[in-house]
Amino acid sequence: MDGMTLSIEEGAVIALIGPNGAGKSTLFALMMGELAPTSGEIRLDGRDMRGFSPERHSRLGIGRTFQTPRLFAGLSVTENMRIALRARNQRQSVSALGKDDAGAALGEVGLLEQHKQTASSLSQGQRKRLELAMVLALQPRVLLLDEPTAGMGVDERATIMQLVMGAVQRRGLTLVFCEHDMETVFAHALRVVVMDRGRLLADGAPEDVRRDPHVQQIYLGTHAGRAAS
Amino acid sequence: MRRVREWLGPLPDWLPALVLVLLAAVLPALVSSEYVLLGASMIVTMLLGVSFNLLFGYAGMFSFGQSAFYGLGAYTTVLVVNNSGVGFYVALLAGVCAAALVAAVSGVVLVRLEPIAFIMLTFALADLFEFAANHAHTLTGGDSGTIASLPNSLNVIVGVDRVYYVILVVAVVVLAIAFVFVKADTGLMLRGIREDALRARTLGIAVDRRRLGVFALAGGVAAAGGGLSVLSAQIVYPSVFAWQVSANALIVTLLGGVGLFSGPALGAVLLGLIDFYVGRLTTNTLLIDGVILLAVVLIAPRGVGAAGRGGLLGASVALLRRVWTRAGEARAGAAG
Repeated sequence: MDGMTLSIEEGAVIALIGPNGAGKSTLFALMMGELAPTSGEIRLDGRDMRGFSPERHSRLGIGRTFQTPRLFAGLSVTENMRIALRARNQRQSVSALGKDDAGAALGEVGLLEQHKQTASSLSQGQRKRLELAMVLALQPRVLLLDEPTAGMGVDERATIMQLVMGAVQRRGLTLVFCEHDMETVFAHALRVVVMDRGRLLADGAPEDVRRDPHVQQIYLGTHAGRAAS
Repeated sequence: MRRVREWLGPLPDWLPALVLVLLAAVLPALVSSEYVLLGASMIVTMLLGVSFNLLFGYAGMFSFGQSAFYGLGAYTTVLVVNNSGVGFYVALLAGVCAAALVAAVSGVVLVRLEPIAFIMLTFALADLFEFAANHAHTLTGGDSGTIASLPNSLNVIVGVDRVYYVILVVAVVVLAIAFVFVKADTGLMLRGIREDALRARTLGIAVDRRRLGVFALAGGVAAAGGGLSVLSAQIVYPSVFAWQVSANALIVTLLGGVGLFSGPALGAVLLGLIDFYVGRLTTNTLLIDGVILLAVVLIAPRGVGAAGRGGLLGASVALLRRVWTRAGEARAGAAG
């Protein structure tokens, strides 16, 4: 990060874009406590989050998915879901939650049929959906999604974003998502933040960012031309 | 055959352990004292393996220092029996508690370490205890060892079968505790931590705290094994802390199946039988152990207890299928 200042208001739907190596995933890692900042501050509701572990970040309401889905690969889909539910309800046993809760959560993301499969045997899209379901099960307030539609076809991208935006609207979540697919960005984001080499390049409404000559020069290029036509 | 397998469903991983426990219960009625003592030794080794399997098989923590807690259990049991009025069972409990406490205190630092550092420092912990046992002559007798002052009812020379059943019953209790632990929520959470600790952290799971809990439990289980070994050996030496003891824990778990509840039990029986019979033929039991371990890791990397691919059963079926196919090709070639 290079002198970056970013404020995220409650209920925002922000797309974080930029070329590879811009620092988007690094920013997410900082926001989740996986990396400690060498200078500057990270605050949630005014509370300084520096020094807090990722566990503490999660318990304070931040949910995060990864560019490459991180699941409990050797465990079944149901077991993955039950761990997430158990993590949410620390005082409640998995047996008390019952298979129905895991089943309901899996049903919402269309993975009920795969409940006995190991997570490692799922397709990329299915893994993304499972990871999303696990993170949503934590009932976060802030959702950080790192390239939620990466590696997916058009239909699957639409399905994932439908799930995401449905949850955001139902639960009033604050959403920050990294994306390379500009159609997804401009279809869903209410605000676009552009990064380049750890610096903030642009921050504003999607149309304003799309018209920014700097952004067009460094990043959007033909994407802007294609989207505008 | 496939239909039968599908109907049966996957066999629970605790079933072989239950079968072995039932066999162990009737062992003295079936064999001579020599084999009963062998059985006792297998039970103790099984507990050592269970302690390692709890850490590595379920939590992904490779400890090369379970001998530290095994030895602590043995020495504490002997010292308490010899120097206080309490009986063996209270002394054994003291050994288990002492080891669990040492594990909990040392674990505060150890469980936060990267895997390589964790292996090295657990090894160093056991080494430290061995050094202390060798040099604290007034307390431990040094390399001369310390004889346990046990009553006749627990003297293996006077009554092998009685001592055997004490070892078996205590081991079954410890095994039951371990079973409840791994089948409960905690076991599932630990398996998740083993798969991906960062994912677990970002779900809000207190990874270090859970690792500390299983480290303390595993220390207690190893100590139970060490305390029980005093019954069959009647004496304890500093070599109870030796790296070979930790290696035995690893070997029986690898042989039987890492992450399988029955793995250490199967591995302990296998290793015990190999050492017993090979020991009658040669003094190079370590060499033979190594060759067999290598063969198992290559042929059945998931251990003899694992069904399906990677286990001995699966490997055997795959091998038979290959032989059958080759034989069929050879017959077709000869007919052509």
